[in-house]
Amino acid sequence: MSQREKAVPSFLKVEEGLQIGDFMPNIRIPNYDSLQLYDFITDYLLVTTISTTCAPCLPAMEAIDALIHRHPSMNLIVFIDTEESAFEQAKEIFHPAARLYHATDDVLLGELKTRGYPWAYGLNAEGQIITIEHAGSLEFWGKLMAPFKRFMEPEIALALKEEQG
Amino acid sequence: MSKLNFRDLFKRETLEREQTYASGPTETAEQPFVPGEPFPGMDLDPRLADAERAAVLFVSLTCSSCIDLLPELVAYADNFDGLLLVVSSGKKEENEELVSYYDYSFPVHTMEENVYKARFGLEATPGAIMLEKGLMMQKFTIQHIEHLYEQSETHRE
Repeated sequence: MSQREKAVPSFLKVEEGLQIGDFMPNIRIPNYDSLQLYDFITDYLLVTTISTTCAPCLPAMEAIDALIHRHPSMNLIVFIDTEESAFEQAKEIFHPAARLYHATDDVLLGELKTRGYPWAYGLNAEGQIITIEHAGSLEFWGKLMAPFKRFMEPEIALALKEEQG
Repeated sequence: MSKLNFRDLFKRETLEREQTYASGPTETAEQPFVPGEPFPGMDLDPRLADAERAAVLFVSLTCSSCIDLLPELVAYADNFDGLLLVVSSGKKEENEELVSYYDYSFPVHTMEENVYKARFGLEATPGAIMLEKGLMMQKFTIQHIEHLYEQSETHRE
């Protein structure tokens, strides 16, 4: 039997995950009875998924924190896959304006359909994905945020312009 | 009490297995690889002890870089003039399915990822150990299939 005629084993099918133009699933926020993802949307929403099981998430956390320091009022939520105790520590380490939500792999990969960690998504007012970037550096965050700068406060828009030269 | 930092959220082994992450003040030194040490996995295949050249590759079926590499191993096996073995963290049935799907000409052994990483001192997957007559000559993380070919050639020189 040729390879073409054989059924592809399930473990060889790599999930592509969410694409630009897809609507991000309006998941229920773990540990909150009546809160759903779309409740956070204003004119836009930035969503990032990180995990303490992935080493590249360390520089991503540092980048996210630096971003929140710079722009504490931007509409960003951070999902963290980690142990309960580490999540409590994360709340102490991140800037007080950081909106952190504890979530498991099952929720983030299974329900939210994130590509993995550390990834970030920019959603429009309808929940549609406009930008997708690796969340590991401020440069990537600049690209992620760029289409939404008109909705952000003037100082963020100015900072983005400066970063992009 | 000292101030927490982001590094404190991670288990040390999580950061250590990521070779590409820049070292920081708290990072421990990696165990240096010493060429010429006997391969600690002769039980995988007794032929390893006498083979002039051998390549033992380590893959995980949940790692996308490994999945990308799997179809390329068919041609690599045809080109490699030594004994080739693959160790996979997939379940036994999955590894059998893998061999059948790609018609691999080489065996795929089953071993848990944390077990083979600890036993063979691997940093990340996909990984490779190149042997000569049972002695380890090179150990590296495979960046892509061309990298594996390049390293195999280096090993040959």
